[in-house]
Amino acid sequence: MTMFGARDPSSADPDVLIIGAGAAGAVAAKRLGEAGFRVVCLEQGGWPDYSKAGADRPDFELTSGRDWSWDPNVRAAAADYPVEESDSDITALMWNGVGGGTVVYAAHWQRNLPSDFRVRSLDGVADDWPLSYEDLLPFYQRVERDVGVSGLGGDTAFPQVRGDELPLPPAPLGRMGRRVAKAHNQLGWHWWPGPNAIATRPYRRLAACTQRATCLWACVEGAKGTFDRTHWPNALESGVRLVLGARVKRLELAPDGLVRGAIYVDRDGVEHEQRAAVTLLGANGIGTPRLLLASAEARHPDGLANATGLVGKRLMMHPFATVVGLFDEELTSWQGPWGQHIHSLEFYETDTSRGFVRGAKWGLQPTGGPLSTTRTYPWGSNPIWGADFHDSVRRRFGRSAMWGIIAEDLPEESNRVVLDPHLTDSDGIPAPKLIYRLSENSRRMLDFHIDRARESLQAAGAYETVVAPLIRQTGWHLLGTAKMGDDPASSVVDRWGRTHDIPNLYVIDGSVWPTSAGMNPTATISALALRFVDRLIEDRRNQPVPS
Amino acid sequence: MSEARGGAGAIDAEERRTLAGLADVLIPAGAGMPSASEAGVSAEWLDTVLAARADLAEPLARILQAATGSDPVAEVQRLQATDPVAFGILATVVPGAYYMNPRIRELIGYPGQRAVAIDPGDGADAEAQALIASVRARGTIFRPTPDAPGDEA
Repeated sequence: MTMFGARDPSSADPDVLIIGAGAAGAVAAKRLGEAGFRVVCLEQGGWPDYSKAGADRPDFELTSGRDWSWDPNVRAAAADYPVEESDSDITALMWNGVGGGTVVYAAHWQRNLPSDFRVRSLDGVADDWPLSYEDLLPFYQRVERDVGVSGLGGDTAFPQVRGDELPLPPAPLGRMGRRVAKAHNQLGWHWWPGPNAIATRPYRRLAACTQRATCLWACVEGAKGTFDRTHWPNALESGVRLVLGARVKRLELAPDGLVRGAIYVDRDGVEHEQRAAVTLLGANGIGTPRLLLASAEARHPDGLANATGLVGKRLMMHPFATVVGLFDEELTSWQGPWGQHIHSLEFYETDTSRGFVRGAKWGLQPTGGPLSTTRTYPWGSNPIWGADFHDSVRRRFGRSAMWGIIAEDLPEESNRVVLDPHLTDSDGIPAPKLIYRLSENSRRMLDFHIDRARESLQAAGAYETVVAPLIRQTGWHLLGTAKMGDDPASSVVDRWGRTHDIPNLYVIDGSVWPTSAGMNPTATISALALRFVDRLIEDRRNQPVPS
Repeated sequence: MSEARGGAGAIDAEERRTLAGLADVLIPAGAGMPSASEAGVSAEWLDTVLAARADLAEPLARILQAATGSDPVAEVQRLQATDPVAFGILATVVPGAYYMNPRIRELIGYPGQRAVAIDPGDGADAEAQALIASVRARGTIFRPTPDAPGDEA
């Protein structure tokens, strides 16, 4: 049975090709597979090797940074491609493999707020999204059930919708959460139990969290909602074919100008062509524009879907700051979800009297084991070695709490991904080069939020606060490089993720975000991918396919 | 050095003596805690570290060979000021080995990243409920969507 309108029913090629098995690709594969589509997914990496997730071993703090580094340039695994970053203030972080970045994410599950979809209307800057919070709400709810999100409904920072509950109860507030919650109540500041993609009870394929505080280095317990666990098993059961070690070189066009499929290289160096009626790109905000640009050909000399010249531009990576508070009380702050105990959106909405627009989200997190207390991040260059060593460790270890601050950066065309003219990956495919500078708005925003976060922790009883140095390795969130919009003259994809230029080519990852919000993005990336794919299924009879 | 180092023999006796000197500059005895060398940082716990992180053996050996015979305090200061990569390796190996020692873990009250089941009652207690009620009482703080929802074309 062919699933698309004018398609030759005898075609042996799959209906849909997905490139990238991360969050967006996983959502699409599961949904399409369960709807009966024939789907192939090309993924340059493999399955996460959880035998290397050593949270339960004494050498965990020594090995985690090597085996689960977030930086592909440091990790330099066979699945990784180099990223040229000498002209960027922030390093791009990612995980190339099944599950994508969710394998090493902190699992802070943050929906965007209504105002995030109306930045131009409300704040007079950047762009509105071609959809609203209300449009996305049912997709958030569906994805949250698939992922097993824990948290408490009724968060006063969000619209109050009857029945809008998360499937699992929240993670414990913990001693540090309670302290800060009390302080915020005294200050009259927002806080709420943290929403996390962490199973607080056994849920579907997930085990219950055991609070080892090692979420960022792969979950050894299988309690974190990573998409290799929450989505891919279902997708595979429904017949989706997942090809691992498949590094895509370029997309190929048919004579009629539609995408015919992709050329990829397997780990033996052999090239293959994978054809399909429709192609979905979910290779993240760096990998997706890289591939579109690398697929330039005579009809599209500047890259595919790039008539506007916007592919790769408007890169947003969320400037990040942390503020740690030191307390007299034992807080057992090496345990808990990591993850967030609580979050605060008190200063998320714009207040122009602060000297900037937009805002940031705070998540209250553990600070790690004893080895972590000796490191320059987040502790800065405060002297620890020598005579004060033991006192310093005693003050930091177990008696500290940390706000992580995710700041919204506004889209600027000068912040961009291009193809590096010299650097390539191990298959000779041009590497991406980042050109990214922090804006004045972002700097003011970070300064303001750091000061407020200090006040928060001081009100909670911290006798000292430590602001982490601004470091480069904080680009977890890769957004904006294939802008979504209704106007083909000023956007790359439409509101359904379909490229304006090539109607059987879709972008389904965070590249499409018109603005970056100030939230951890996986909730919205996933909900958006589900919305796009629902529409693709619904409208399949009108879907153009290559002849 | 042409041969890859690894395992317990990766760092020889003289290099271990050098390491003990440098390590005690970083972690001296005090506040009821033993020094790095007293805790076995240049002995069995170094072997444990290198068993887990064999990739550190060669660069560590180079640092120690270069430091042989130097004044440990001056050498640590020099590395810290002029060679952040080398200092970073030393600053990983030394406290890494120190905190692998179970006696040291016991002294600071660190049982490791233990599995602690989530208490299903946490968050349902009166204190937590009162804390959350206080937030609810302050009302919502978001800015609503300014145009009518349901803008699907």
